[in-house]
Amino acid sequence: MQADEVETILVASSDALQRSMIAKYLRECGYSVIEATGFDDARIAIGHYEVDVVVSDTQMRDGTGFDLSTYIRSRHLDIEIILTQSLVKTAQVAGDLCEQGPLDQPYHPQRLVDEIKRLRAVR
Amino acid sequence: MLPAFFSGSVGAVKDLTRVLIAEDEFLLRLDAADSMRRLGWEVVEVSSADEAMELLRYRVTFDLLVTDIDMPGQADGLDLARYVRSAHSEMKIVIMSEDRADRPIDPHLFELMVVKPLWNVGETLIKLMEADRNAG
Repeated sequence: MQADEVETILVASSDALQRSMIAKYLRECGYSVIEATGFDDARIAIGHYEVDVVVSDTQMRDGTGFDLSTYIRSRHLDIEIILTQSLVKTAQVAGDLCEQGPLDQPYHPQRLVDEIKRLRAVR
Repeated sequence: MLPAFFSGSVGAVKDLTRVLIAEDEFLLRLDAADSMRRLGWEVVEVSSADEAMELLRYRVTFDLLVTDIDMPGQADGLDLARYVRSAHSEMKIVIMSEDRADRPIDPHLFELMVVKPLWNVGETLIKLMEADRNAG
C-alpha cells in the first residue's frame, strides 16, 4: 500500500476517547479520516464515501468488526480492513499507516498509547 | 513532529477552538464536524449525550459543545447541557433542534440554538467564539 493511494481512513470504534485520538493522530499524518461510533455509522459511511482503509474495533456497541468486515466483503468493495482489539494494537496500526503517510517524520505510536492511558488514569 | 495533544495538557492550546459535537445522525454530524474542521477548529465527535459526558470526565477540555437534543441513551442533549453548565461552565453551548418551537428550553442552558438542517452557521459560530475572546 503506497501513501498516495490511501486517502480516506474510516476509524470505527465505540470508545470515544480512543476513536477521537486515533482519528486526530491520523489526520495529523495527512489522511482524511471519517469517525464511526459503531457498526451502523460505519455502514452508512461506506455507502456514502470512498473509503480506502477501515480500522475497526472488534467489539462495538451495535455490532462487531467481523460484522463490518462481512458487510464490506459481501459488497465486493476494494477496502483494506484492519481489525483491532486493544489500544496498543490500534495505535500500532495507526503508526504503521502514518509511516506510509505523507509526513516525513511520523511520531511514535507509543506516545499515543501513553497519552490515552494518562487520560484514563486521571479520570 | 508531535501532534498537538502531546505538547502539554489536553486543551492547553488556547488559540485553538476545541469543539465537542454530540449528534446521533451520522451524516449530519460528519458534515458539521468537517465544516468546523475547515474553520481550523479541532472537533471531537460523539453520537450520544452519555458518550459526551463520559469523554468530559477524562478531563479533556473543550471551548464549545454543539449538541442535538434527542439522542439514544440514558441522557439527552438537555441533560448534557445541564452537566456542562455545572461541571464545565467555561464551555459555550449550541443546541441543535429539529424545530425551534418543539418544546420550551431553559434559555440559560445555551448560548445559541440552531434549527436543523444546519445551513451557513459557520459565521455565527465564529462570532460566538470570537465574542468571548474579544471580551477576554
